[in-house]
Amino acid sequence: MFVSNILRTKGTEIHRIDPNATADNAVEELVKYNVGSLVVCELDEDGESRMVGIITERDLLRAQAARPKPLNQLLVREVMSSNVITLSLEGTLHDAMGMMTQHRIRHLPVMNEDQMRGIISIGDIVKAHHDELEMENHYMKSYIQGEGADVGTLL
Amino acid sequence: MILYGILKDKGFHVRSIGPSTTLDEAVEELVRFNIGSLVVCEPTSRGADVHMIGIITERDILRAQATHKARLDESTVANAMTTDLITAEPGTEIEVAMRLMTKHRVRHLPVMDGGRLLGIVSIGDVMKAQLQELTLSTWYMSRELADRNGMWT
Repeated sequence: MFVSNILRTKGTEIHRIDPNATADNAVEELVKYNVGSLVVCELDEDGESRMVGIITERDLLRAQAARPKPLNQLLVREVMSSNVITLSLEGTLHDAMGMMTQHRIRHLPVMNEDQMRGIISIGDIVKAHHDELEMENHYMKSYIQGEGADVGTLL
Repeated sequence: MILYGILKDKGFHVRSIGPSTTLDEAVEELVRFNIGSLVVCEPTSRGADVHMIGIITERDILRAQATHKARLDESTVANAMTTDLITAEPGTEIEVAMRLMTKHRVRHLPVMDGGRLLGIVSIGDVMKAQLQELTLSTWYMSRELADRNGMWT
């Protein structure tokens, strides 16, 4: 299965935030949309939106542990990770799992060359993998129950 | 694969915290150990034993901050924790754990063995186990294909 298949099912919506927004704005957005990360984007000289980082729940907690400062006095750009690990639209489920496990991260922006096409989370991957296993299981069951001919045409 | 297998690999140790602790201490613990949840435990009347009463996650803490403007040094774990727990058993199949996590949108499953907390399995642990299984099956399949090709050519 490819990352593009996952995006087709879950949608390509990306929650963005400005680097100069405050950390409490970021917390509000995460909670409002019930998501674990926001992509930090700013406009470049040509008026194009450009990704400059990613801000996650973990980043926000880490910032608060390090600097006990009210959230409305912290800026997103002080808290975000600017070294963003991304995945290509042609990547596979297997690639995404490897990158998340290796880097201990839970969100991967999906890129098609310079264009961001969506974001996939560890929850999306586990769901996609689960659905895939269930599908395989269903086909195997029908095959074993003697509906092999149907399975052949379906596959 | 069952959850007991994952716990055997990663260890049975569970990080816990008391319900009357303040949220800033919970944040410190989560960050120090680079984990996403703490099990909330309180001592039982029998003394030595502890009893799990909830779980507190990163999301719970941020939600408390967003919804009732909770101050981390004033609010307690008891005010932010989740008490409605989704749990699993050591014999739970990994596919079932995946379904529970997806359906309830949780990232941590306490694994209970007859009323006792045996360990905790996170979504990261589940994915790592699936990755290992997938890598192994890909290796077997490519070897099988290589064998067939060898036979046919």
